[in-house]
Amino acid sequence: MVGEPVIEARDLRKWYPVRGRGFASLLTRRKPEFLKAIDGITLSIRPGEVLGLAGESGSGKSTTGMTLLKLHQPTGGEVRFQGLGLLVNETNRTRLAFRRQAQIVFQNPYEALNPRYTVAQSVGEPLSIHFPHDRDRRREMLLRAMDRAGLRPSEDYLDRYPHQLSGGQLQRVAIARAISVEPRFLVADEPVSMLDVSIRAGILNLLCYFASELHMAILYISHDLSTMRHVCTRIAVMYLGRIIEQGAADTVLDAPLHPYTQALVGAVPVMAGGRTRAPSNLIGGPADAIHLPGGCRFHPRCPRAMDVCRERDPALDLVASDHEVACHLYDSLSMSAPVRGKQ
Amino acid sequence: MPLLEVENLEVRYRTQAGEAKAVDGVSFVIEPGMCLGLVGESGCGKSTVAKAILGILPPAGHIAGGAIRYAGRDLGGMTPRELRAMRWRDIALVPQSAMNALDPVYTVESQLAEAIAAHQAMPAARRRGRIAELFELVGLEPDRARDYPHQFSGGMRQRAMIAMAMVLDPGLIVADEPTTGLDVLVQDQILRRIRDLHDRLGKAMLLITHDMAVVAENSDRIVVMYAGRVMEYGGEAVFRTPYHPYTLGLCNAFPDLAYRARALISIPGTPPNLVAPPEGCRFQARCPFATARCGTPPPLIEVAPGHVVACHHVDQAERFRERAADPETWREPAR
Ligand SMILES: Nc1ncnc2c1ncn2[C@@H]1O[C@H](COP(=O)(O)OP(=O)(O)OP(=O)(O)O)[C@@H](O)[C@H]1O
Ligand SMILES: Nc1ncnc2c1ncn2[C@@H]1O[C@H](COP(=O)(O)OP(=O)(O)OP(=O)(O)O)[C@@H](O)[C@H]1O
Ligand code: SF4
Ligand code: SF4
Ligand SMILES: [Mg+2]
Ligand SMILES: [Mg+2]
Repeated sequence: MVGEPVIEARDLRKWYPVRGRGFASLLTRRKPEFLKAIDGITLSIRPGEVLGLAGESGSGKSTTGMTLLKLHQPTGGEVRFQGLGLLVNETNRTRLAFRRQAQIVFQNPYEALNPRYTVAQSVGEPLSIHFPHDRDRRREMLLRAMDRAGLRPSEDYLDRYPHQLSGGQLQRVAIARAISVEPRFLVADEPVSMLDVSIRAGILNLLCYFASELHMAILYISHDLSTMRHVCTRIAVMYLGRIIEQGAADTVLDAPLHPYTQALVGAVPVMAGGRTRAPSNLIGGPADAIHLPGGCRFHPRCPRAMDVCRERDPALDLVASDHEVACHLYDSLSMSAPVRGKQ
Repeated sequence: MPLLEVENLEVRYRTQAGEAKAVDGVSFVIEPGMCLGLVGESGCGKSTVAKAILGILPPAGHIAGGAIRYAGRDLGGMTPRELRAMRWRDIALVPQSAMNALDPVYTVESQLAEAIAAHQAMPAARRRGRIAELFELVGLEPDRARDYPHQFSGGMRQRAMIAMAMVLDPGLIVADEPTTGLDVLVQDQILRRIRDLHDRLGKAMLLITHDMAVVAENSDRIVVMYAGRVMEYGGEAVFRTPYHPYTLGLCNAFPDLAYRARALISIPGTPPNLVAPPEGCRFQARCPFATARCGTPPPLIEVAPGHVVACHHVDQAERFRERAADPETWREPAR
């Protein structure tokens, strides 16, 4: 992938204060507790790249997307958009420019679209915010977005209302709306999980097209690893607010290193699998996001946990070219340590 | 004797636009100890089949034809009371969105106890023992039985519902999307539990889902439904060497993790209106291989022992298989 990153996050945090329960907590004046929805994330996406963000429910995927888009105010860390910091010294103009260049598509198109708006009104709305005085340009961009989202011929759709469209067509409208303003960065948060298998590929292929032909940087959020093979150039796996493994899509799916990624990949049912997949050897269920375990936050569930894992939090280290993992099993491979040759 | 026989089942719903033929001539058989997987896209009638088997269709729905037999007995001829007695005892349901099926006001234990008490006189102590046993069976800690549903995660509630289905040791379990919406690790655990019940206790199973890999991994027999009809029915060959263009479409649309660098196809169009479905093959408007003949209803053709296909052109299946892998084949027709 060429070019400078479109979006970068450095040590990004989003903590939610959680109030103690009941009157007693007022009396005891315990120090405030936090739910660390994201807790130190560093990532970057270049033009033409689709970064897949995987991980179980509650691991912080959506919060990451929303915080990158500045729809949530981060608790700490930094987001840079096209090389410029977003958190300091921003004027209204830079904020508006960012709003235009960074867009999101949600899981549920039924909720994302106003049922009383026609397709033309829904897709045109962001355009009238960003280009209020330029009618011809708006029209041109509207038609281009509809065409790019596969709503062809556009005359067939412009005057329809959401209830007159299928689920797949609705998601295309939501996508047309997001890309109408020609963003450089697109977050797609579970964009196909509500759609039937028979029509998912249409939407996934659109994301590929936006990346490869329009050079957008895309964050594809999903808990479904099997769709990631088809859309993502790279994959980052989250666990309790952290990225625990990151690398080229095929590397992460075919040769995962982190025990959690290995379990995730191994739990995906496959068509030709018969009944041969080995059962996951993880212990228990997800940990409490408020009372995080010390050391490696995955250690209570990890089948390979060692003494060091209870004491030291592993950093996300580069262990091979474009393959990072946060796990003490690979401490000796870490590129920051002397390189000892392969394996 | 088969455990369950569904023969030419027809179910209709009254709607404002007229009668919707939600299930229109569906037949299949479940032998004791067998798992039958039922797949198809949203609205094709999967849950309706399940509800008809359990006799719990909503007031707008009714069985308009065909027969459902459990261990040779026709459910159609039973009184509502007899049907109620069969539910849970012979056939139990893990309903779609079972996660939300527990009553938030009562502990999980008391809800299971009530299900037992409704069908079987049993002293409280033995009932508690049975519940502990069931909890262990589905992989829940027995001492969590007195928790309220909100204290359980989604996956735990789902497992509690499977325990609930097991209270009376039924011969057949109907599981309607038992893992949809759950994380993959939890899904894997639950499916392994279900399979365990099936393997160890010889429970027969009707597994309904739209996830083809879940069906492929867990079923002995597979039914592919589309718009209220069976398109293809058989063993694992249904996915290995499909004959029906719809099955081919589904297989090529499914992003299989194990299958690298393959272009995914997308089936153009949407399923037909079930109030006025097309005369002939229900799939014709979306089928890239449709011909004039497809305007008449296709016969059910046996392509191999125990493998039947509802398509006029099964003789061309080999060519279809080749072409169906190409996304160009499924391009939206110019309108
Ligand atoms: N507004 C909020 N206030 C408090 N906690 C929140 C808030 N939003 C999210 N959280 C918590 O932050 C954590 C991460 O949530 P997030 O929605 O980012 O997860 P996710 O990975 O997108 O999960 P899913 O796959 O279920 O969508 C969760 O524990 C969630 O309960
Ligand atoms: N109570 C009802 N009244 C009228 N029509 C109904 C009713 N319930 C279901 N239908 C219709 O019957 C058809 C079959 O519905 P059913 O719920 O059986 O589908 P399904 O295959 O289970 O779908 P899903 O995968 O979405 O659960 C659909 O077209 C649906 O709209
Ligand atoms: S650091 Fe230790 S506990 Fe954490 S994933 Fe690696 S081996 Fe497991
Ligand atoms: S009968 Fe005709 S329309 Fe139907 S699946 Fe076969 S080829 Fe396609
Ligand atoms: Mg989310
Ligand atoms: Mg259903």
